[in-house]
Amino acid sequence: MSTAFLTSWKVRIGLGILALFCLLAVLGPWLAHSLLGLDPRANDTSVIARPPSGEHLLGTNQFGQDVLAQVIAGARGSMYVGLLGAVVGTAMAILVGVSAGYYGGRTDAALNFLTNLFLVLPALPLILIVTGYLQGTGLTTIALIIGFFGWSGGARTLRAQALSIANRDFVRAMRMLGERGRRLVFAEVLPHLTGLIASMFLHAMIGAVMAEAGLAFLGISDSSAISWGTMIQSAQQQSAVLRGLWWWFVPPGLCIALIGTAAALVNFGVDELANPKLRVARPASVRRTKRPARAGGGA
Amino acid sequence: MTVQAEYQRSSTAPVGQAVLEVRGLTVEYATGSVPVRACSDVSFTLHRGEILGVAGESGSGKSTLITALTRLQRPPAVTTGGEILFHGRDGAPPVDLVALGSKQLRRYRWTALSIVLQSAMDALNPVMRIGAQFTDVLRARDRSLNKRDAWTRAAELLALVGISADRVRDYPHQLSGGMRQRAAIALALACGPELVVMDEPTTAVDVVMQRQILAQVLRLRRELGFAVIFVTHDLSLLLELADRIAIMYAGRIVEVGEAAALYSAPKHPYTQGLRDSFPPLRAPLRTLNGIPGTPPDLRRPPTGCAFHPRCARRTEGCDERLPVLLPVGPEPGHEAACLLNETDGEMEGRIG
Amino acid sequence: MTESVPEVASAPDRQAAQAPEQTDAPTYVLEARDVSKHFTVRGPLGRTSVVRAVEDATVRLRPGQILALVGESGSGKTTLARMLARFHEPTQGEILLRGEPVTGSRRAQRAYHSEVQLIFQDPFGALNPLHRVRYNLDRALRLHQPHLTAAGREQRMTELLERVSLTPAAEFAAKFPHELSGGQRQRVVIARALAVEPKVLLGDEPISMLDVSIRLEMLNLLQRLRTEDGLALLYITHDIAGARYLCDEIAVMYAGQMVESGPKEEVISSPQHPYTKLLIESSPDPERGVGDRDELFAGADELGEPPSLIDPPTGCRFHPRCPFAMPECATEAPPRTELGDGHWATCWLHVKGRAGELAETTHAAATGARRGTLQEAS
Repeated sequence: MSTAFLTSWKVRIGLGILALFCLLAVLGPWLAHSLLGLDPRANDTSVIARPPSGEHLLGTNQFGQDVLAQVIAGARGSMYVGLLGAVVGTAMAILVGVSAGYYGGRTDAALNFLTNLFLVLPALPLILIVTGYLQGTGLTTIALIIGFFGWSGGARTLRAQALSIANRDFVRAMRMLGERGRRLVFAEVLPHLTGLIASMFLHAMIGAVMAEAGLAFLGISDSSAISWGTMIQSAQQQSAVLRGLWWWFVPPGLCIALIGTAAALVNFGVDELANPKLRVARPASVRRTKRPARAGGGA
Repeated sequence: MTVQAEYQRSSTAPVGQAVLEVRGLTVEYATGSVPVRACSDVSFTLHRGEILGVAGESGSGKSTLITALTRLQRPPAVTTGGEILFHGRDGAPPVDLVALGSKQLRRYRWTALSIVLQSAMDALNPVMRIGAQFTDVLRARDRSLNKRDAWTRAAELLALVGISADRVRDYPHQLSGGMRQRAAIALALACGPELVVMDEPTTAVDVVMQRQILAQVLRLRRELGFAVIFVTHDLSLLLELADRIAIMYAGRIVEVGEAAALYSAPKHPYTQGLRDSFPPLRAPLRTLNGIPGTPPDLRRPPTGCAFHPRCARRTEGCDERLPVLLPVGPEPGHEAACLLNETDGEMEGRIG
Repeated sequence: MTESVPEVASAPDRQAAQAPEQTDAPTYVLEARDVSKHFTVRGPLGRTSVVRAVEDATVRLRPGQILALVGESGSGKTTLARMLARFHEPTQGEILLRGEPVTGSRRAQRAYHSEVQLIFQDPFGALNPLHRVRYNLDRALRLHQPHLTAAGREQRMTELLERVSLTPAAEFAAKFPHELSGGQRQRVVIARALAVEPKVLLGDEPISMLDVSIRLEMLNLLQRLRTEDGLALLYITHDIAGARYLCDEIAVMYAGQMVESGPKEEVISSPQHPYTKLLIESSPDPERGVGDRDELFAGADELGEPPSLIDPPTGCRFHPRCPFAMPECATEAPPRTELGDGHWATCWLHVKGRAGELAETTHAAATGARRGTLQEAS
């Protein structure tokens, strides 16, 4: 299964890009500082808003800061928000969705109500209010808020899936054996949802990266932190578009777009893996007598 | 009645004439590196008005055979060899269905050959009234038929299978499983085909309904004179229904013969094993063992006779030589593909 | 191949040995007493209706006994099995394990399932595709034989796999369900149930999805479990010939009610309820000869269909299809008539002294004759 997953070129490219950015997030500051001798925060007043050159590969911004160094430093900020937001969002989706689907009854009714509530809540204004209320919005706070408001869609999908799996005979059989609820969820139900959860996690990660950029663009960010979002925001504040300082806002924008593309590519592979129809088509399961034999199907 | 008239119009051809001749039909599934041969070198002749039963386990190639016969197969299944000769009622030279394009095939579907599937839900459109589906089929063949007449015909056809005329306006889900299956049979008969292929039409219904459906098929066959290829895994059912039975194993016909002869004196160990896989309803009980082992994986078929790994009577050469269908027993038309039959006389003591 | 089945012949002796006639009531290992199950379904317009899936059914299983529960789909036999497996709580009535009523508490359920296990119809659905055979057996052993050490479990696992003829055991233990054929999977399902060391197995059409040639091996395996371990088995099926091959007694269900029960040969050779008769006459029987096919199928064109369980017929639920129906059949439910030897039926014919008619005619002939009389009368 995993070998088939990795043979797809889409998955390989997607995973490659994601790995590159993760590496950049982890090693970036050290790379910029030690290897390139750049400091993303240092203001060099002698080079203000310069286009890319040999000395500053991606040029400098209005404040005389090196854009390359900022993109590298921003990777850590953006990836941090993306990962943390995705972890929080996915964890909540699993907790609420799988519990609702597996336990059913009143638990389901209550959790489903909560899910629907969050689905229809206008997330953006709420985030604005919450961040306004919480003074001093660091990247962690932003990530937590993004995760907290972004789990409902995933929970809904997971609930439907968990519901159908919990009613399958093999779960019934293990329950009849005396297997306890928590183990049934983790050993029998959840493993069937891994494909779905992986794809949800990737979606959530792109979502969080973009949301962070969007929030920063609206001015909700920690101005002292460096992320691709804050870079774009300050470029916008300084009218970089009007002034044609494209090297300031294109690199961070491109990075966000690249992460999105990579996540989408990996998702294709996950889809192929998680699609139950592809599993059914295995030759081993053709040997059933009572299934309707479709044209070309069960020989 | 119009339906009978439809048949009488040109059914001057005597019973006993061939309606379908299959010669060396081979179907492969082009998946993976090696094509899987689901049907190898299948040959048989179906006579006018005859019921031929095809029995075999899942994986024996019986469903593949049906989709190939009706030309309903889809990739990756490909007919790689053989011919399916259809003899029309009009005495015209036979047509090879394998060679026909999809447009030409359309002329033969419903009017010459139709199919009844295992699940009627697959054959009937769930969002169309039963009558509308009949009307579609009827008017596709005969454009001069107006709507009202078509609906009347639909009601007549349903009456043939014992469904009252007021059900014409029902949707498929409003009918019971048995009624749907009967409606599917009526639909298959709508354009007076000479051959109806039935793919396990009674597997999804209960025994009582199964008996009703079989009784109706027999009655309609008597009244209308079409031939039937009836595919099932239930040999005991075929013995009551079919004139002749063909037994398939691993994509080949291993034995074919008149139903009673095949049941009372099977000439292939697999046929015998299959026969003895059904406990009797009234006869004294004895320990039955079925057939040990599992059907072969067609991606890696056994050498020689495909049945030899499961066969209790395998002898030298069974794993090397592929037996061919040879006439056996006193009954004409009884053929079996087993090496045991080739060594004269010995067989009588060993099988049956 | 032709010797008689020792298990079948010796079955009654075994029961006699295990249930000495010291008391009037034989000791039942599992009993469902007058259980009913009603499901509430919501229609498309929000209207609720009640499906009476099972009504007042009684099932009794002695140790080492195989009881076949026969009926068409929708007759309630699967619902009854699922109640006995405690997937559904009965709407009315009670289930008794060794004479003790079972309660709904979690602990009681667990104790219950250490004695009663269900074999599912679909061996493809009953095993988690992500777990190896080993995992399934290991979990069952861990949960039900907690005293076993790892080595002990390993040994027991080998024994279990050998018990269901999956050898070499080590090789099969390492396989995933999709690497096994249908018959092999069903053997794993049975081995998993046996790991619990139950006293009762409930088989919900356990062979109907398997290939024809493998079914008998499965029946022989179940037979062996009964003779060697003294397991009681409730075998649910729609195949009467298969039921006869395996079981001691047959109980017939129609439209949620039990209509007849008794020793298998008696029920099959002289059915005492018109529905049982119809069921047996409809089953394929190659032995009855294929001389005249038209005669064989005469009158089988219209045998009717089971009723809706939302609004079942009044009185006897079979009366609309019954060729012997009398006025009281439509108004009053027939009482149960004991016919001796544990054979009983619920039919008015016995009360009215018309039971002899059942043996004289076939369902099809009786229906034909009845139609004739009705036409004459009108």
